[in-house]
Amino acid sequence: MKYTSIFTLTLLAAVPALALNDISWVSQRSGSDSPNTLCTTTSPCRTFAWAYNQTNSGGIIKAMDAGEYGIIFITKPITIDGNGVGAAIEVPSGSTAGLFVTSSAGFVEIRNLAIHVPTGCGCEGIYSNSNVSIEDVSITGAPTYGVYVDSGSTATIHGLTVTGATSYGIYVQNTTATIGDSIIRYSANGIAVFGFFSTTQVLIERSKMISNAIGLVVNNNGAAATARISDCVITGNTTGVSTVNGGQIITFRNNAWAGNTTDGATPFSVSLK
Amino acid sequence: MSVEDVSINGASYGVYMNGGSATIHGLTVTGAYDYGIYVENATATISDSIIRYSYGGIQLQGVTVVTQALIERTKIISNSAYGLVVDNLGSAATARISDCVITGNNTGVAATGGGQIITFRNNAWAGNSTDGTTPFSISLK
Repeated sequence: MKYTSIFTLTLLAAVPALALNDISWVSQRSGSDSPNTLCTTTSPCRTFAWAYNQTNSGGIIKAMDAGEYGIIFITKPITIDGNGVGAAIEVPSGSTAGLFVTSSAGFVEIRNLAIHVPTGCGCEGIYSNSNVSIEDVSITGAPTYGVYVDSGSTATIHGLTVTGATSYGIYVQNTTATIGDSIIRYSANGIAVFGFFSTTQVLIERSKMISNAIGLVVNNNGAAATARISDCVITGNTTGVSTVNGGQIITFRNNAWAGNTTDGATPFSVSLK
Repeated sequence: MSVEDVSINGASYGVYMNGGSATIHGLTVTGAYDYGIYVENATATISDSIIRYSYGGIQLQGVTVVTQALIERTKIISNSAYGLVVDNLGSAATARISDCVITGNNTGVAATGGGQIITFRNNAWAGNSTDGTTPFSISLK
Protein backbone atom coordinates (compact mmCIF):
# COMPACT_ATOMS: atom_id res chain seq x y z
CA MET A 1 0.00 0.00 0.00
CA LYS A 2 2.80 2.33 0.98
CA TYR A 3 4.60 1.68 -2.31
CA THR A 4 1.38 2.11 -4.26
CA SER A 5 0.88 5.55 -2.73
CA ILE A 6 4.43 6.59 -3.47
CA PHE A 7 4.07 5.30 -7.04
CA THR A 8 0.84 7.24 -7.44
CA LEU A 9 2.40 10.41 -6.09
CA THR A 10 5.34 9.99 -8.42
CA LEU A 11 3.00 9.64 -11.37
CA LEU A 12 1.02 12.70 -10.34
CA ALA A 13 4.18 14.73 -9.95
CA ALA A 14 5.26 13.65 -13.40
CA VAL A 15 2.03 14.85 -15.05
CA PRO A 16 2.11 18.60 -15.57
CA ALA A 17 -0.99 20.50 -14.53
CA LEU A 18 -3.13 21.35 -17.54
CA ALA A 19 -3.00 25.02 -18.43
CA LEU A 20 -6.31 26.82 -18.41
CA ASN A 21 -7.78 28.09 -21.66
CA ASP A 22 -8.61 31.62 -22.72
CA ILE A 23 -11.34 30.10 -24.89
CA SER A 24 -12.96 26.81 -23.91
CA TRP A 25 -15.44 24.78 -25.94
CA VAL A 26 -18.35 22.57 -24.99
CA SER A 27 -20.21 20.07 -27.14
CA GLN A 28 -23.25 17.90 -26.54
CA ARG A 29 -22.30 15.69 -29.47
CA SER A 30 -18.66 14.97 -28.69
CA GLY A 31 -17.93 16.57 -25.32
CA SER A 32 -16.80 14.84 -22.14
CA ASP A 33 -16.30 16.04 -18.59
CA SER A 34 -13.25 14.04 -17.66
CA PRO A 35 -9.90 15.15 -16.23
CA ASN A 36 -8.21 14.48 -19.55
CA THR A 37 -10.57 16.68 -21.52
CA LEU A 38 -8.90 19.89 -22.65
CA CYS A 39 -12.06 21.84 -23.54
CA THR A 40 -10.61 22.66 -26.94
CA THR A 41 -12.33 22.29 -30.30
CA THR A 42 -10.76 18.86 -30.71
CA SER A 43 -11.35 17.84 -27.10
CA PRO A 44 -14.46 19.70 -25.99
CA CYS A 45 -16.02 19.54 -22.55
CA ARG A 46 -19.61 18.52 -22.03
CA THR A 47 -20.95 21.18 -19.63
CA PHE A 48 -20.49 24.86 -18.97
CA ALA A 49 -19.67 24.13 -15.32
CA TRP A 50 -16.80 21.80 -16.21
CA ALA A 51 -15.48 24.13 -18.87
CA TYR A 52 -15.66 27.02 -16.41
CA ASN A 53 -13.02 25.35 -14.26
CA GLN A 54 -10.77 24.92 -17.29
CA THR A 55 -11.00 28.58 -18.32
CA ASN A 56 -8.91 31.56 -17.29
CA SER A 57 -10.43 34.55 -15.58
CA GLY A 58 -11.69 36.83 -18.32
CA GLY A 59 -11.96 33.94 -20.75
CA ILE A 60 -14.78 32.71 -22.98
CA ILE A 61 -16.76 29.48 -23.05
CA LYS A 62 -18.43 28.71 -26.37
CA ALA A 63 -20.83 26.00 -27.44
CA MET A 64 -20.02 24.02 -30.57
CA ASP A 65 -23.44 22.50 -31.22
CA ALA A 66 -27.02 22.46 -30.05
CA GLY A 67 -27.66 20.92 -26.65
CA GLU A 68 -28.24 21.35 -22.96
CA TYR A 69 -25.15 22.46 -21.07
CA GLY A 70 -26.18 22.67 -17.43
CA ILE A 71 -26.36 25.43 -14.86
CA ILE A 72 -23.31 27.39 -13.80
CA PHE A 73 -22.15 29.23 -10.67
CA ILE A 74 -19.89 32.14 -11.59
CA THR A 75 -17.27 33.74 -9.34
CA LYS A 76 -14.84 35.21 -11.88
CA PRO A 77 -15.02 37.35 -15.03
CA ILE A 78 -16.14 35.13 -17.90
CA THR A 79 -18.18 35.06 -21.08
CA ILE A 80 -20.71 32.28 -21.59
CA ASP A 81 -21.58 32.21 -25.27
CA GLY A 82 -24.14 29.85 -26.77
CA ASN A 83 -22.57 30.85 -30.07
CA GLY A 84 -25.80 30.83 -32.04
CA VAL A 85 -25.94 27.04 -32.31
CA GLY A 86 -28.94 26.32 -30.07
CA ALA A 87 -27.28 26.09 -26.66
CA ALA A 88 -29.65 25.74 -23.71
CA ILE A 89 -29.74 25.43 -19.96
CA GLU A 90 -32.44 23.40 -18.23
CA VAL A 91 -32.66 24.51 -14.63
CA PRO A 92 -33.21 21.56 -12.27
CA SER A 93 -35.41 21.79 -9.19
CA GLY A 94 -33.44 22.67 -6.09
CA SER A 95 -31.28 25.16 -7.97
CA THR A 96 -31.26 28.87 -7.27
CA ALA A 97 -30.78 29.95 -10.87
CA GLY A 98 -29.65 28.82 -14.29
CA LEU A 99 -26.73 31.22 -14.09
CA PHE A 100 -25.75 32.56 -10.68
CA VAL A 101 -23.21 35.40 -10.66
CA THR A 102 -21.68 36.28 -7.27
CA SER A 103 -20.66 39.73 -6.10
CA SER A 104 -16.95 38.94 -6.50
CA ALA A 105 -17.23 37.82 -10.09
CA GLY A 106 -16.31 41.03 -11.89
CA PHE A 107 -17.68 41.54 -15.39
CA VAL A 108 -19.66 38.64 -16.82
CA GLU A 109 -21.18 38.30 -20.29
CA ILE A 110 -24.00 35.90 -21.08
CA ARG A 111 -25.18 35.62 -24.65
CA ASN A 112 -27.00 33.46 -27.17
CA LEU A 113 -28.67 31.11 -24.73
CA ALA A 114 -32.08 29.59 -24.11
CA ILE A 115 -32.85 28.98 -20.44
CA HIS A 116 -35.81 26.90 -19.39
CA VAL A 117 -37.16 26.81 -15.85
CA PRO A 118 -39.73 24.06 -15.30
CA THR A 119 -42.98 24.71 -13.48
CA GLY A 120 -42.63 24.28 -9.73
CA CYS A 121 -38.86 24.74 -9.76
CA GLY A 122 -39.04 28.02 -7.85
CA CYS A 123 -35.82 29.03 -9.61
CA GLU A 124 -34.55 32.15 -11.32
CA GLY A 125 -33.28 32.31 -14.87
CA ILE A 126 -30.27 34.53 -14.17
CA TYR A 127 -29.23 36.06 -10.85
CA SER A 128 -26.43 38.60 -10.79
CA ASN A 129 -24.75 40.49 -8.02
CA SER A 130 -21.94 41.73 -10.25
CA ASN A 131 -21.62 43.70 -13.49
CA VAL A 132 -23.33 41.69 -16.17
CA SER A 133 -24.18 41.86 -19.85
CA ILE A 134 -27.06 39.74 -21.10
CA GLU A 135 -27.54 39.55 -24.84
CA ASP A 136 -29.84 37.49 -27.02
CA VAL A 137 -31.11 35.26 -24.25
CA SER A 138 -34.51 33.61 -23.98
CA ILE A 139 -35.95 32.54 -20.64
CA THR A 140 -39.10 30.44 -20.63
CA GLY A 141 -41.07 28.07 -18.46
CA ALA A 142 -41.93 29.41 -15.05
CA PRO A 143 -38.99 31.30 -13.56
CA THR A 144 -39.72 33.20 -10.39
CA TYR A 145 -37.50 35.97 -11.74
CA GLY A 146 -36.37 35.90 -15.35
CA VAL A 147 -33.38 38.11 -14.54
CA TYR A 148 -32.63 39.36 -11.05
CA VAL A 149 -30.10 42.22 -10.97
CA ASP A 150 -29.07 42.80 -7.39
CA SER A 151 -27.15 45.45 -5.48
CA GLY A 152 -23.61 46.19 -6.50
CA SER A 153 -24.02 45.23 -10.11
CA THR A 154 -24.88 47.15 -13.20
CA ALA A 155 -26.51 45.43 -16.10
CA THR A 156 -26.78 45.94 -19.82
CA ILE A 157 -29.53 43.78 -21.22
CA HIS A 158 -30.16 43.53 -24.93
CA GLY A 159 -32.34 41.13 -26.84
CA LEU A 160 -33.74 39.36 -23.80
CA THR A 161 -37.09 37.60 -23.93
CA VAL A 162 -38.75 36.45 -20.71
CA THR A 163 -41.99 34.51 -20.85
CA GLY A 164 -44.07 33.34 -17.92
CA ALA A 165 -42.20 34.68 -14.90
CA THR A 166 -44.19 34.00 -11.77
CA SER A 167 -42.85 37.08 -9.96
CA TYR A 168 -40.86 39.42 -12.25
CA GLY A 169 -39.54 39.25 -15.79
CA ILE A 170 -36.67 41.59 -14.99
CA TYR A 171 -36.09 42.78 -11.43
CA VAL A 172 -33.54 45.48 -10.67
CA GLN A 173 -32.81 46.70 -7.14
CA ASN A 174 -30.30 49.17 -5.69
CA THR A 175 -28.36 49.56 -8.91
CA THR A 176 -28.53 50.71 -12.53
CA ALA A 177 -29.42 48.92 -15.73
CA THR A 178 -30.00 49.56 -19.39
CA ILE A 179 -32.54 47.37 -21.12
CA GLY A 180 -32.93 47.41 -24.90
CA ASP A 181 -34.78 45.46 -27.58
CA SER A 182 -36.27 43.08 -25.05
CA ILE A 183 -39.66 41.47 -24.53
CA ILE A 184 -41.28 40.64 -21.21
CA ARG A 185 -44.62 38.86 -21.53
CA TYR A 186 -47.16 36.63 -19.82
CA SER A 187 -45.55 37.27 -16.45
CA ALA A 188 -46.84 38.48 -13.11
CA ASN A 189 -44.80 41.65 -13.43
CA GLY A 190 -42.88 42.73 -16.50
CA ILE A 191 -40.05 44.93 -15.30
CA ALA A 192 -39.56 46.04 -11.69
CA VAL A 193 -37.29 48.81 -10.45
CA PHE A 194 -36.89 48.86 -6.67
CA GLY A 195 -34.79 51.23 -4.58
CA PHE A 196 -34.21 50.01 -1.05
CA PHE A 197 -30.90 51.53 0.09
CA SER A 198 -29.23 52.81 -3.11
CA THR A 199 -30.49 55.00 -5.92
CA THR A 200 -31.85 52.72 -8.60
CA GLN A 201 -32.36 53.73 -12.19
CA VAL A 202 -33.10 51.90 -15.37
CA LEU A 203 -33.29 53.11 -18.94
CA ILE A 204 -35.59 50.95 -21.05
CA GLU A 205 -35.67 51.39 -24.80
CA ARG A 206 -37.31 49.66 -27.72
CA SER A 207 -38.71 47.02 -25.38
CA LYS A 208 -42.12 45.42 -25.11
CA MET A 209 -43.98 44.78 -21.88
CA ILE A 210 -47.04 42.90 -22.96
CA SER A 211 -49.76 40.74 -21.44
CA ASN A 212 -48.45 40.84 -17.87
CA ALA A 213 -50.39 41.61 -14.71
CA ILE A 214 -48.31 44.78 -14.35
CA GLY A 215 -46.10 45.93 -17.20
CA LEU A 216 -43.68 48.14 -15.30
CA VAL A 217 -43.49 48.84 -11.57
CA VAL A 218 -41.20 51.39 -9.93
CA ASN A 219 -40.97 51.41 -6.16
CA ASN A 220 -39.09 53.91 -4.03
CA ASN A 221 -38.89 51.74 -0.98
CA GLY A 222 -36.30 53.80 0.89
CA ALA A 223 -34.13 55.03 -1.97
CA ALA A 224 -34.97 56.83 -5.20
CA ALA A 225 -36.11 54.56 -8.00
CA THR A 226 -36.46 55.83 -11.56
CA ALA A 227 -37.31 54.21 -14.88
CA ARG A 228 -36.83 56.11 -18.14
CA ILE A 229 -38.62 54.62 -21.11
CA SER A 230 -38.05 55.34 -24.78
CA ASP A 231 -39.70 53.84 -27.85
CA CYS A 232 -41.33 51.07 -25.82
CA VAL A 233 -44.59 49.19 -26.18
CA ILE A 234 -46.71 48.69 -23.06
CA THR A 235 -49.94 46.95 -23.91
CA GLY A 236 -52.22 44.10 -22.97
CA ASN A 237 -51.28 44.25 -19.31
CA THR A 238 -53.84 44.41 -16.53
CA THR A 239 -52.02 47.51 -15.30
CA GLY A 240 -49.63 49.20 -17.70
CA VAL A 241 -47.37 50.90 -15.21
CA SER A 242 -47.42 51.37 -11.48
CA THR A 243 -45.42 53.65 -9.21
CA VAL A 244 -45.17 53.07 -5.49
CA ASN A 245 -43.90 55.38 -2.73
CA GLY A 246 -42.86 58.09 -5.15
CA GLY A 247 -41.03 55.92 -7.63
CA GLN A 248 -40.65 57.82 -10.91
CA ILE A 249 -41.35 56.91 -14.49
CA ILE A 250 -39.99 59.36 -17.03
CA THR A 251 -40.98 59.00 -20.66
CA PHE A 252 -39.43 60.54 -23.75
CA ARG A 253 -42.94 60.93 -25.22
CA ASN A 254 -42.33 58.26 -27.81
CA ASN A 255 -43.88 55.14 -26.28
CA ALA A 256 -46.89 53.13 -27.49
CA TRP A 257 -48.49 52.81 -24.11
CA ALA A 258 -52.13 51.92 -24.48
CA GLY A 259 -54.54 49.03 -24.57
CA ASN A 260 -53.99 47.93 -20.99
CA THR A 261 -56.99 47.30 -18.75
CA THR A 262 -55.66 50.27 -16.79
CA ASP A 263 -52.80 52.18 -18.36
CA GLY A 264 -51.67 53.30 -14.92
CA ALA A 265 -49.60 56.07 -13.39
CA THR A 266 -49.23 59.27 -15.34
CA PRO A 267 -45.50 59.71 -15.78
CA PHE A 268 -43.17 62.64 -15.97
CA SER A 269 -41.85 63.31 -19.43
CA VAL A 270 -38.80 64.87 -21.00
CA SER A 271 -37.81 65.54 -24.56
CA LEU A 272 -35.40 63.53 -26.59
CA LYS A 273 -32.30 65.58 -27.24
CA MET B 1 -11.11 50.94 -42.35
CA SER B 2 -14.31 49.03 -41.79
CA VAL B 3 -15.10 47.34 -38.49
CA GLU B 4 -18.22 45.19 -38.40
CA ASP B 5 -19.67 42.88 -35.74
CA VAL B 6 -16.62 42.89 -33.51
CA SER B 7 -16.41 42.55 -29.74
CA ILE B 8 -13.44 43.92 -27.80
CA ASN B 9 -12.88 43.44 -24.09
CA GLY B 10 -10.36 45.04 -21.78
CA ALA B 11 -8.15 46.95 -24.24
CA SER B 12 -6.55 50.34 -23.62
CA TYR B 13 -8.47 51.71 -26.61
CA GLY B 14 -11.08 49.53 -28.26
CA VAL B 15 -10.58 51.15 -31.66
CA TYR B 16 -7.93 53.85 -32.14
CA MET B 17 -7.73 55.70 -35.40
CA ASN B 18 -5.48 58.58 -36.36
CA GLY B 19 -6.14 59.82 -39.87
CA GLY B 20 -8.20 58.32 -42.65
CA SER B 21 -11.84 57.33 -42.36
CA ALA B 22 -13.72 54.49 -40.77
CA THR B 23 -17.12 52.86 -40.83
CA ILE B 24 -17.84 51.05 -37.60
CA HIS B 25 -20.96 48.92 -37.29
CA GLY B 26 -21.98 46.43 -34.63
CA LEU B 27 -18.96 47.04 -32.46
CA THR B 28 -19.10 46.28 -28.74
CA VAL B 29 -16.31 47.59 -26.53
CA THR B 30 -16.32 46.62 -22.88
CA GLY B 31 -13.94 47.78 -20.19
CA ALA B 32 -11.47 49.88 -22.19
CA TYR B 33 -8.94 51.54 -19.90
CA ASP B 34 -9.02 54.70 -22.00
CA TYR B 35 -11.71 55.18 -24.65
CA GLY B 36 -13.86 52.65 -26.41
CA ILE B 37 -13.45 54.47 -29.73
CA TYR B 38 -10.87 57.19 -30.33
CA VAL B 39 -10.92 59.25 -33.52
CA GLU B 40 -8.22 61.82 -34.23
CA ASN B 41 -7.78 63.83 -37.42
CA ALA B 42 -10.23 61.56 -39.19
CA THR B 43 -13.85 60.96 -40.08
CA ALA B 44 -15.96 58.08 -38.88
CA THR B 45 -19.46 56.67 -39.04
CA ILE B 46 -20.37 54.63 -36.02
CA SER B 47 -23.63 52.67 -35.87
CA ASP B 48 -25.42 50.00 -33.86
CA SER B 49 -22.55 49.81 -31.44
CA ILE B 50 -22.18 49.63 -27.68
CA ILE B 51 -19.44 51.22 -25.60
CA ARG B 52 -19.66 50.38 -21.92
CA TYR B 53 -17.80 50.00 -18.64
CA SER B 54 -14.84 51.90 -20.05
CA TYR B 55 -13.08 55.04 -18.84
CA GLY B 56 -14.64 56.95 -21.71
CA GLY B 57 -17.03 55.97 -24.46
CA ILE B 58 -16.12 57.82 -27.65
CA GLN B 59 -13.56 60.60 -28.05
CA LEU B 60 -13.06 62.84 -31.07
CA GLN B 61 -10.01 65.06 -31.29
CA GLY B 62 -9.30 67.50 -34.07
CA VAL B 63 -5.60 68.35 -33.90
CA THR B 64 -4.38 69.09 -37.42
CA VAL B 65 -7.28 67.90 -39.58
CA VAL B 66 -11.02 68.53 -39.37
CA THR B 67 -12.47 65.60 -37.47
CA GLN B 68 -16.06 64.46 -37.51
CA ALA B 69 -18.16 61.46 -36.67
CA LEU B 70 -21.77 60.55 -37.19
CA ILE B 71 -22.94 58.25 -34.43
CA GLU B 72 -26.29 56.52 -34.80
CA ARG B 73 -28.24 53.87 -32.93
CA THR B 74 -25.37 53.47 -30.53
CA LYS B 75 -25.36 53.01 -26.77
CA ILE B 76 -22.81 54.79 -24.67
CA ILE B 77 -23.45 53.51 -21.19
CA SER B 78 -21.91 53.05 -17.76
CA ASN B 79 -18.53 54.57 -18.55
CA SER B 80 -16.68 55.76 -15.49
CA ALA B 81 -15.68 59.20 -16.75
CA TYR B 82 -17.24 60.35 -20.02
CA GLY B 83 -19.75 59.08 -22.50
CA LEU B 84 -18.79 61.24 -25.47
CA VAL B 85 -15.98 63.82 -25.65
CA VAL B 86 -15.33 66.17 -28.57
CA ASP B 87 -12.14 68.24 -28.43
CA ASN B 88 -11.07 70.96 -30.82
CA LEU B 89 -7.31 70.96 -30.25
CA GLY B 90 -6.49 73.11 -33.25
CA SER B 91 -8.90 71.77 -35.83
CA ALA B 92 -12.66 71.55 -35.82
CA ALA B 93 -14.15 68.47 -34.23
CA THR B 94 -17.81 67.60 -34.59
CA ALA B 95 -19.96 64.69 -33.46
CA ARG B 96 -23.47 64.25 -34.83
CA ILE B 97 -25.62 61.86 -32.85
CA SER B 98 -28.89 60.23 -33.88
CA ASP B 99 -31.09 57.72 -32.06
CA CYS B 100 -28.43 57.04 -29.45
CA VAL B 101 -28.63 56.16 -25.78
CA ILE B 102 -26.28 57.99 -23.42
CA THR B 103 -26.90 56.92 -19.86
CA GLY B 104 -25.22 55.74 -16.68
CA ASN B 105 -21.99 57.63 -17.39
CA ASN B 106 -20.33 59.97 -14.93
CA THR B 107 -20.52 62.78 -17.50
CA GLY B 108 -22.76 62.13 -20.47
CA VAL B 109 -21.06 64.38 -23.00
CA ALA B 110 -18.34 67.02 -22.93
CA ALA B 111 -16.89 69.38 -25.51
CA THR B 112 -13.71 71.42 -25.18
CA GLY B 113 -12.04 74.13 -27.24
CA GLY B 114 -15.17 74.67 -29.29
CA GLY B 115 -15.73 71.04 -30.17
CA GLN B 116 -19.32 70.60 -31.34
CA ILE B 117 -21.96 68.05 -30.57
CA ILE B 118 -24.99 68.20 -32.83
CA THR B 119 -28.07 66.15 -32.09
CA PHE B 120 -31.05 65.28 -34.24
CA ARG B 121 -33.28 65.64 -31.18
CA ASN B 122 -33.93 61.93 -31.02
CA ASN B 123 -31.48 60.68 -28.45
CA ALA B 124 -32.28 59.21 -25.04
CA TRP B 125 -29.66 61.15 -23.18
CA ALA B 126 -30.43 61.09 -19.49
CA GLY B 127 -29.58 59.33 -16.28
CA ASN B 128 -25.91 60.30 -16.19
CA SER B 129 -24.40 61.75 -13.00
CA THR B 130 -24.05 64.90 -15.11
CA ASP B 131 -25.66 64.87 -18.52
CA GLY B 132 -23.12 67.45 -19.71
CA THR B 133 -22.76 69.92 -22.52
CA THR B 134 -25.95 71.21 -24.07
CA PRO B 135 -25.60 70.43 -27.75
CA PHE B 136 -26.59 72.13 -30.91
CA SER B 137 -29.50 70.46 -32.58
CA ILE B 138 -30.91 70.13 -36.06
CA SER B 139 -33.97 68.42 -37.45
CA LEU B 140 -34.07 65.15 -39.26
CA LYS B 141 -35.04 65.77 -42.86
